[in-house]
Amino acid sequence: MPAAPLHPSFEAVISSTRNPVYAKQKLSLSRSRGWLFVRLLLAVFVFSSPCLPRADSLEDAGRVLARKVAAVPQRERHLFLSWQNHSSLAEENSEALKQSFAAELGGEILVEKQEPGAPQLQISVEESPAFYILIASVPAANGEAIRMARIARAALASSGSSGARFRLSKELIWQQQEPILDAVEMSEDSGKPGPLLILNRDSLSLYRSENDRWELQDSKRVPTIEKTVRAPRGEIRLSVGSEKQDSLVLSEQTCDITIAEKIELNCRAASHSWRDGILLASPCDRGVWWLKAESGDWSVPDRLSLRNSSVPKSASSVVELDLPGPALSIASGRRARSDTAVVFNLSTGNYEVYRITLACGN
Amino acid sequence: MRAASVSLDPREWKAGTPDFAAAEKLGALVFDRLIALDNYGRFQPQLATEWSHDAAFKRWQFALRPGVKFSNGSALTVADVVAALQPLLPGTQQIQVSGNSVVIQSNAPVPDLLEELASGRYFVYRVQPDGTLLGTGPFFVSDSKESSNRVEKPAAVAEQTPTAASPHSEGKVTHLHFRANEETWSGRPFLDAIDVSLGVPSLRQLFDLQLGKADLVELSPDLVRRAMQENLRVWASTPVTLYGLRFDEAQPAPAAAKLREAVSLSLDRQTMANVLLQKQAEPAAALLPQWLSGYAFLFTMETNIDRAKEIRATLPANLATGKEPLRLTVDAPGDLAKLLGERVAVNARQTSILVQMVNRPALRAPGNTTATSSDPAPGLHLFAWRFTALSPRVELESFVTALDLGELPEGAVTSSDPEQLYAREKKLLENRRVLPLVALPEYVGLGPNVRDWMPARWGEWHLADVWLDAPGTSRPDTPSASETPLHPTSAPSPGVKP
Repeated sequence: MPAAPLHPSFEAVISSTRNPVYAKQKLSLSRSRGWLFVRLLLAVFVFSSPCLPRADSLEDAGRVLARKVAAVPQRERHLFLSWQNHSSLAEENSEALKQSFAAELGGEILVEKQEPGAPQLQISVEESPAFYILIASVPAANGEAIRMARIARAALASSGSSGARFRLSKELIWQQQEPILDAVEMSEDSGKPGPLLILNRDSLSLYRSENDRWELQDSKRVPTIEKTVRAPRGEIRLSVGSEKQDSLVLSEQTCDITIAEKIELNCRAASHSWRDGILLASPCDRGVWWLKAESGDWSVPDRLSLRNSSVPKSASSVVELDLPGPALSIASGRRARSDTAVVFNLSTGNYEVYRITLACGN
Repeated sequence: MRAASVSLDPREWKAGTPDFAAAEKLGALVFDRLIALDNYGRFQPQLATEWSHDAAFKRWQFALRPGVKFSNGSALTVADVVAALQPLLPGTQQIQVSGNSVVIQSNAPVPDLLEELASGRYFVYRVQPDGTLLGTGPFFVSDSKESSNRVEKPAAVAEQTPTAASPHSEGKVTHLHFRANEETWSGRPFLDAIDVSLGVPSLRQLFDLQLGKADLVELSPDLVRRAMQENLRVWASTPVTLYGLRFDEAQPAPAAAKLREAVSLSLDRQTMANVLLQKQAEPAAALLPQWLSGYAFLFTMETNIDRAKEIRATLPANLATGKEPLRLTVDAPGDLAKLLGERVAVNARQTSILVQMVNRPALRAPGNTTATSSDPAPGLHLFAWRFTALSPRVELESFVTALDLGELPEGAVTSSDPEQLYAREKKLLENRRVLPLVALPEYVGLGPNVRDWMPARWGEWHLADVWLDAPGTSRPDTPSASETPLHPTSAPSPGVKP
């Protein structure tokens, strides 16, 4: 079979345009992300080509559908909008979509109040394995016209949800698509965020909070074991009490961590045990409590449970906190004033870091 | 598994057949695709780490992951990818080597190429001189038994020469033994080995699960309620199998259209799904399911006996009556299909249309629903279609082609636009040559110690991520020295949850 001629010029669109990093915070551009940025610009250019129009954002999708609805021949002049989201699209995204759709269609077509017998424009948000599909049923003189627009599911950041004598509360502080092995906040003061250390599969990254955003300060590659492991594990351990040295514990190595402006790692082969739970200090009674994730499997949501640290670990929990997925790791911050939990959100597929704090009463 | 035999050669899989789905599940143990689609609509790198396309979506380039090895230790090359995928790709698409990448060039735009390559038969393999296939996946076939000649490879030999095996053509494979591929690029699976028994009747599978002889079984819909009542873990996919009727062209055209309409109006899909199938199925009004197309809810199928009788009255008196009944061939295998066929006959009889069930021609391959010139013009076929593609366009194309539903209009063939796909499907349904009946999920029974069961909702099992919670053990991540089939190692592990 003859091969088709190859075009000498090739317009590249990196896969990541359909496979984005969903960091809630602004990520500074690392070296590799610089190239990604250039490619993303190319992607925007390519995707905006008139050959095959595709909606790249919620607003685009809303506008595309609105234009299609407006162009339906013999459409009813005034329509009452009925909007239903049957997909996994977050409600706030659905609302944003609705707003952009309504704004594009305009007040001349959409009526705010539904009069008896007034024609209804039904919009339904559905989904397929790779897309959210917007379907409009448009009343027209010759029956109902169907118009559709779609947007890649991967193009949308799924928003995570952010968060009784004691009350455990959680606050989403970070989310990304790539796996996180462990994360810890290094703040001395429980009232102030960060710095935030995140251990990825192959790197340890340090973020500092600037104007309510996490800015990447430094990132170091961590030594990897020779063989790829399906579920690698690592822990960041901050110094406690007389211990002065923060450390990074990996499968077959331990690294001393020194953090100033940059991260310094000093690694050596070592064996160790993994932590079974962590301590969490109470601001209410100066007590220290034992925080543990329910042992389960990674296909079901986890629950954090708090137990008195002076009683056996098997004692019943004082308070519990539901998580949106399995807890992959929980770690203690400085002085155990706040802890962090790394969770795989089963609804969004993102890896999320929650700040876990203990509050008094309600 | 229920499938009596299975071929692990993707080139032999026939779209829409139940065997395809079974083979794909086992194939995923041994082979990898270039990319995967996760439950969140994100394409994930597999053997390809990056991909890109031109503005027209005609030229796609995939950069190959470096350092990937087949289960025998040899390196995966771009030439392997080209050799594996070219026979699987449609004739309109050519694949070529370009440096450390492969380029797929298409005559027409294929904006849904990623969906296409992330599903179905698009596995990467290498054909060995003896005809067996090698894979890069998390397992390899170390042993297989065949019922016809009972050939069993010595385990020692199998250990030395891991292959993807070629359990096809020579005999009926009844048993497959998969062992963990220690060197797989994605990380060694948690399980040391997987034993798969083929051709096991549904009830026996249920018993095996109850007795702890199996950790995972396929449950037939009629056993789901029973399994749940007995507190067994049951998982259901989205509806992945469509049962439907297809008319052939044996009747004169004007009468045929009216007859099809009358039969369509007579069908009581709600009863089929809720009573006959004990609510383990959904009434189907569309060819593609809602989870795949997103627009299936726009279709409705009316049941109107009175209208059906009126239409019947306008047809020739001898049509579909005692002397010339409408012959219904049940092409789909299994008792469930026969039950549905009988219900179709009962529904039709209410509108004075006589439907007579006839035996399926013995030589016809399972799932091959296409009539041949030697068939006795039965009139009506009951078929089952197993969805295996993640591209609605590809699935609809395969469906139309396999069921011989007519030529596709030029231009529509390559369109993945949902609006155009909807229009195409609507036209097919309005023609009534094919009538959807019910759509069934796939049901899986799980042992109490199966952990991290996180399949794709469309039925991919992801067994490489599964582990077994044997007493006194925790999640493994280090390979064990000795083989302990279906049980994880007990070594302290980084995979253990906090």
